Amino acid sequence: MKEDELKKYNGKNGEKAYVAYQGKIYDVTDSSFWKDGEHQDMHIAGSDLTSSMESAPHKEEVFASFKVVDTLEKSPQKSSKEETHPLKTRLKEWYKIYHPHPITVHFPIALHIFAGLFNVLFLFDKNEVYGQMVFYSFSIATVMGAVAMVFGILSWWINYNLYQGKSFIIKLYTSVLTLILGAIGIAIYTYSKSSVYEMDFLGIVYHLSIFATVATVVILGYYGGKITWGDPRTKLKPSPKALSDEATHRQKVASKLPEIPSTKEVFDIEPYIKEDAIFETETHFKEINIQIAGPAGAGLNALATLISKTLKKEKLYHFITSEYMSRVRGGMSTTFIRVAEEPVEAAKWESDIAIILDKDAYTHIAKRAQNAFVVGDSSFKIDHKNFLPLDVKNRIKDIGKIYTNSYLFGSLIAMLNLAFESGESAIKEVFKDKKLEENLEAFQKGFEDSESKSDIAGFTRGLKDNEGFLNGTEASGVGFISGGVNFVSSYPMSPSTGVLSFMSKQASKFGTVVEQAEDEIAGFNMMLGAWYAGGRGLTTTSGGGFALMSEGMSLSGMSETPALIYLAQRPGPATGLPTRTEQGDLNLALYAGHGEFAKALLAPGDSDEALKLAHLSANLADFFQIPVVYMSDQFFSDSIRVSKELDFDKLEFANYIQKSKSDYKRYKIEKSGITPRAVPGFGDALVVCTSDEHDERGQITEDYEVREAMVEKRAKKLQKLREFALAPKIYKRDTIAIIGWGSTKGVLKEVCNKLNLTHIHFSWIYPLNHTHLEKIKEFTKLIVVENNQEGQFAQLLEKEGLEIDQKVVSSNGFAFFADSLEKRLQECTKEMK
Amino acid sequence: MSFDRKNIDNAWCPGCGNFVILKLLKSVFEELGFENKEIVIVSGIGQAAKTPYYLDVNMFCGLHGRALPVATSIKATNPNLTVIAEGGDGDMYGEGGNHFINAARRDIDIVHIVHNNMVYGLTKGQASPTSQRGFKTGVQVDGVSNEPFNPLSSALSFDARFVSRCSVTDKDHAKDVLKQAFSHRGYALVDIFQPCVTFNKVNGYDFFKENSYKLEENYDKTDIKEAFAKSLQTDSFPLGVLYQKEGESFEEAHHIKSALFEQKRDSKKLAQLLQSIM
Ligand SMILES: Cc1ncc(C[n+]2csc(CCOP(=O)(O)OP(=O)(O)O)c2C)c(N)n1
Ligand code: SF4
Ligand SMILES: [Mg+2]
Repeated sequence: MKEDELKKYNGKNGEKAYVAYQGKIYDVTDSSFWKDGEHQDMHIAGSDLTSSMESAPHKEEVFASFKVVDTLEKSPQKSSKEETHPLKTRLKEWYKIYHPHPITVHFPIALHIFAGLFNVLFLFDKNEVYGQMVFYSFSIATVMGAVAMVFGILSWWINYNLYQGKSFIIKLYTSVLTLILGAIGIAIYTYSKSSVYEMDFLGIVYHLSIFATVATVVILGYYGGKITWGDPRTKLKPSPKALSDEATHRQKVASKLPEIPSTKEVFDIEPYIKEDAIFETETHFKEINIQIAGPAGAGLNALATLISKTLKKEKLYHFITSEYMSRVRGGMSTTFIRVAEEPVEAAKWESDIAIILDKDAYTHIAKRAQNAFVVGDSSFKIDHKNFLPLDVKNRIKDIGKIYTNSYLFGSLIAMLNLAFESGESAIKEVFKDKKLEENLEAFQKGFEDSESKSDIAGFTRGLKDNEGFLNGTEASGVGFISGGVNFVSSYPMSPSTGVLSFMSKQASKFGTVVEQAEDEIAGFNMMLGAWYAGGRGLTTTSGGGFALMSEGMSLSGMSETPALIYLAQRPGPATGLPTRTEQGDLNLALYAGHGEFAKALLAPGDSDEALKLAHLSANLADFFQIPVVYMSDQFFSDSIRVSKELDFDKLEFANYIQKSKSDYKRYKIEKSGITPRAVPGFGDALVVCTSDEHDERGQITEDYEVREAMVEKRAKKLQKLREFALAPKIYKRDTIAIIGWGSTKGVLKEVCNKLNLTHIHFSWIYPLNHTHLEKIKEFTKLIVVENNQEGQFAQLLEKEGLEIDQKVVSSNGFAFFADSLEKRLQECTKEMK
Repeated sequence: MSFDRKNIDNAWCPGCGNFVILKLLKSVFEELGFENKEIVIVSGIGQAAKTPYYLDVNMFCGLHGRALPVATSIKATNPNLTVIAEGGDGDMYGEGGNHFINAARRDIDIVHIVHNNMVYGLTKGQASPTSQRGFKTGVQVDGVSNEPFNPLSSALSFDARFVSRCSVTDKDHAKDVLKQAFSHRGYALVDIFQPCVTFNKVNGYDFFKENSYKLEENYDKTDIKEAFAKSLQTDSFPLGVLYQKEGESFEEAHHIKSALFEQKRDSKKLAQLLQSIM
């Protein structure tokens, strides 16, 4: 923003308080040092503090804890004028060298006080020696005071741009007053010395002026100190809790680093946190929940695709998720389809319509279908109050049993009271050249045989033209391609394989090299090699495979080779529940790799985040030269949720590879800890990377000082990452806040809205930024909801200094359902409210 | 062109066979007219794996056993580079055994150089996969009881298209084998006998000299049966290119022609993709 614009953010009348420093604009609204947009009575928000900083008692590390919100565009005339005033620059230099302040200012202050003290003595014992001592001290102090004033005004101009803060104005008045008092005293003593001894009217004025100057210089000294050292009262206040010892220490380290660009600048991702934004969805909306149960291989997915296509045509928001067993044939699975007037992103446990594909399916689904219409073949003979038997077998006898699903689809379209044509066109699209006639016939029969059981025809159709539906796998995949991923090496493992396949499918279009590795260790190391040679590598895996990658994580850390891992979680330990969901690998990811090194963990919660964070993760890995773990899970990757079109031009694509010059050193110690990355065969230099501790050239060393420097270099990256972190999204409603991360976003968004609770969503999981956490401390009760048993994210938050009041966890292989979670949260917040 | 890296602190024992290999590589690079910048050596961990620290070329010294996957993707990411995976017998045949199988099968165009000293040097003298039966160490106190791993017959069974062995005890021959390996397009294995003078007192210079012979002039390296037969000879080890076959390397099969970092991102294509699946 421009300087004029910046002025608006003065922190007054509820405005935000922004200050600029070296071209960056920081948000200081919430700082206790910036109450009402004023700092130490001399700096006001809405202004550029770059020049003031030179004379400040602290350095720019104070900005480390504030969020950069924009950059400052200087209006050219003004800055050039400031920049070029030669006298000012010269004087500034002179000031820096000679420090005139103590001698010109402290000395007269001392003399005035000295004169005052001796004047007390004089009044007791009118000794002439005392009288003279008082007068001479007083006169010298006054003359020197005048000199001090000249220097003071100069300094006011040079260092503070004649800023008219309260302290400055007070100082100005008191110094003038001191000078006048001095002149009066000197005049009386000179012209009517006897009055001094006789205590007539002039004598009294003389003595009063001596004492009054003591008071004025004390005031002058106090405000002078305040300008230089800040308000002692604010100083005594404890620093914000978030700045733990470590953080403060690290901030000191950070102060030596050059600025790295803000998230927005580098990635053009809005620091996408709308704090205090309220989720606009209605609390009450019409919806219908359909569950289809059947054995694996019975065509559940095909049915879900048909339904989704129809609903999209009908402009109806919906959400589809599934639970299935780790079997290729048989077993039991359910597809949950939720149709609603609002863009819901969670399923419900209870259904309104249950379609069963075989008899056992009813047993599987019975608890979730107590009040539903249960639809199935009449031969199933199901004992349910709302069983709607269909004569499927007979009706499609002539066409063939494999058309059962198209028949059931027709029946569902009729029950939902949707247009025949919508269903028909979905059939035509899906079965273009696969027995279209037969499928259409079965569909039509199913449609004829059922009647409307819902008011879906009366639903508000909110789906916008730029909206559609994606599963988490697709959204992540597109994001990775957008982030420039052009090399993928993985070993298949559910539920991560979707992304591997997706990347393969798109490979020829985007020039991606995709290779199935012999194991996860190879997958990881290949991915590293690709980055080393200038590509953007990705490896996809789940918990078990990721465990094998640990050593590679550490290699990425030491060799400072970027690494990008798509980690789709499933319940462990060991093989666990291969096709089900859990957020149980946070600790694994957090602590993966031996030794100490920086890494970043991200976890998307909806399609938009999936796209943008996947894109961001590739840039992050490249920029910081660290491993970045993008955490998904079975629920997130398999569920189909609403998504929006994206302007890919707006997602800045930055390639941080540098063409090397002949003096290039791969591990040159730069202030930021980040050495520009060169790749072999591009530029004049050799690129020497290693897993041993190394010197700047990449040669092995055990020199303890070099080791210390390298450890510090790598540690700085963690600190920089912390500053860089995307803030959690806070949907503020109540003093009770529900915290979630990654894939719980959809369900919490809905439930918190309904229960009128604050929802805090983290998609940047690690490393956390303490300024962001500080914001969360404002809420009186913190409840963490996560899909695991130990509350791993809650533990991380506790480690970072938050006090968590309660954990609401689940680890039965299902994701949270909106209806059951609502009950649980209602229960546990009842007593808190 | 000099391939000497300046200001180095060499960590090898005096008299170690690794010095010979280092020198051989330098002269092969020179004689083949390579440029420093175009070569990347990827190594793991071990004494042999330290070689790239002493050669002035690009290097990626990664994890024990994991040089091959890294080398594979470097070549696939930038086919203009000459890529070498180098390490010890423990590194390449032990810890990295699975990668050995699959690098050969994948047939990526790299030269795979294994310093075969029949011992773990860096960790001070335990048995390696190629240690001979009866070899006594601090761990194998009664002597090795496993049959030694046969890298050549293994590579042949993995369908490697270039399988060779040489020894530092015959430098000219070794140089010739290495040159052939660099000229081969596809995965090329060069197993080099390298005496470890400190931890393997059994298999030293004399042992390798006395227990090896050069393949005959008229040896037909395209005959896989003959190659298998030779590879199984262990009373006296044959030296030379046992097997070589024409074929298509990984990059050729995947049509990788230029470096991936030259790719441009296409926002329009991305938008189309998103729209098509939404
Ligand atoms: C994962 C892992 N396991 C073990 C080691 C320890 N280690 C380093 S080198 C080595 C074996 C060295 O033998 P070899 O590969 O034959 O190389 P040489 O030293 O004989 O040249 C071992 C076991 C390690 N660095 N990393
Ligand atoms: S330990 Fe053996 S292999 Fe290692 S440098 Fe010494 S002699 Fe060579
Ligand atoms: Mg060895």
